[in-house]
Amino acid sequence: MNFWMAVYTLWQRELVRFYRVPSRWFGAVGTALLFWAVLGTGLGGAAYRAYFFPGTIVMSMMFTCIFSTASIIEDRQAGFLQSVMVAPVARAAIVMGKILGGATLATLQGLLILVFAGTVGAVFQWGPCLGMLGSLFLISFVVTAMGFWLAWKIESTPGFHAIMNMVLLPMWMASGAIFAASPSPWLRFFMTINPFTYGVAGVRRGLFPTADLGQVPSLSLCLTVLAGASLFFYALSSWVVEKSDERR
Amino acid sequence: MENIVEVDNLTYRYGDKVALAGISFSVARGEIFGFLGPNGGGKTTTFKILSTLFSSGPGQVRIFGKDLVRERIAIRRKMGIVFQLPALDKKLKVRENLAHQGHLYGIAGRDLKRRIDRDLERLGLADRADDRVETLSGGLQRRVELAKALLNDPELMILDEPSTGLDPAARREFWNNLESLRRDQGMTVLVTTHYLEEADRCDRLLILDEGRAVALGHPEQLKSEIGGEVLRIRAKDPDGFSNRVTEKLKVKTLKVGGLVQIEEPKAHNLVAPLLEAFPEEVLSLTLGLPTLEDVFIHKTGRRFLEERE
Repeated sequence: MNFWMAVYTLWQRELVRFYRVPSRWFGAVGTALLFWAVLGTGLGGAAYRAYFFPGTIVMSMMFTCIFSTASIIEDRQAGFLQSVMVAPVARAAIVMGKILGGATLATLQGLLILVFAGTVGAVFQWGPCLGMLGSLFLISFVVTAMGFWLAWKIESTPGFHAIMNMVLLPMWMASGAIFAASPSPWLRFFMTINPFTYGVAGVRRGLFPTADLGQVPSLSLCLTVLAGASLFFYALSSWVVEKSDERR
Repeated sequence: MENIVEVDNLTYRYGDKVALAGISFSVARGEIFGFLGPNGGGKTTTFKILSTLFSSGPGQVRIFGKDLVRERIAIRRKMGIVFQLPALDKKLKVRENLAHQGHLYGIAGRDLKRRIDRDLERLGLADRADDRVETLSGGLQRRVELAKALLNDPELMILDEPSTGLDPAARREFWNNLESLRRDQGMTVLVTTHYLEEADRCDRLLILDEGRAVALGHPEQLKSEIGGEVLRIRAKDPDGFSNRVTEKLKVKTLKVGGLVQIEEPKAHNLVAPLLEAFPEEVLSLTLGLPTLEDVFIHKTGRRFLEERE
């Protein structure tokens, strides 16, 4: 009972903070749209812009995750999080509230890109659309949880940004966002174990339910893999927080 | 009287550096108990352990009769904590900050609203409830921190240098609030400080230096232990001068920060003999009652470096 009240209140705080700083609405979406416009046009025509569209949504989501988890570093040294850490609340609830908040925002930022879905020939069907929302939310959860885990271990904000970009950008690039397959076996292997692959695939399946997408993982596979990865990274983040308590 | 806090041989180290080298004390219900010391003396480490941010060893700390390591959550429920650095979300309104705090302590709905209104009223913040924290002055923000820490009706309040960065008037007002809470609610208060005038307002004081407890007692009692009066002399050659004074007048001297200091019950009787014996060497001379700074000097042989913002 107390657990979910704490989760709720921390989740709500993330959302309120976000809409109080309007400039935050534009950074992630703007960057992703620029990528889409420039890369999509530069690398091919209308067909490629459509191919690149799901990756753009995931990219917008990814940038939001990086920014919202970076705040953990400052929050931890001083500020709000300190008083949260001395409240009679399970560590796992604090982690869940923070990750859910970040993931919700990231999902919303990804969805802002959907305004352009009509221009790439997306088809609306209820089932796939819900599957897409589920995939987008779960990949946001995975990335926020990864960010939480790294932010807890890293002391400096610039260092955190550097590491996050170094880890997340390759994951995003090798997710089927830019190219569908690779002749390199190790890259193919990396794409199979990369959670981003399932995030991008889930969005692609949801946007183009009637198209023949070939080897792209099915929606149910995407949702299953992403749910598993979410649990894994949530457990990992909760564990580092618990462990930092025992340090002396 | 019932002890709210019992600390027995508390130790803490950061890697190889010893932060607390075994300190012991207990705090009775309703006391305002202060930790005074220079930065790096160990008071912030003590605060972090008592507020449950850092872990102590088992059996070293008992709060409300419970072991701090094993019953951390139960202890947290009845504590209110004010941090040195602001713990408010500045983008949120005063009322929103308090609501989050309530939720974290399992307080919600009508009960939460009642408590928020009560604490804002009590601290004179009612008219600022719907303002964002970032629009409040430093003194008002500190009051909101206090309101936030009071929300769960704590039996024990722990504050880490709560008035750092406040002007003297705001600092006095903050302390008036603390004292009235103690009086009206019977709350026990632990507070760290490096301001001597704050330390003077505590019921009992633990002076910490280099991770050790160097003195413990009521501020007046600590001062009277030094004995009567303190004479501070600025001299041309402090080293030679202090030796010559000891030889000639048969009194103990201390050298502190370039000054020669004499602590004697009737130090004023030494003024005339000093000036007659060493007319050339004494540049200036002040006579005063002992302060907590003198207590610190007396116990450690060093000056208490008081930082001013």
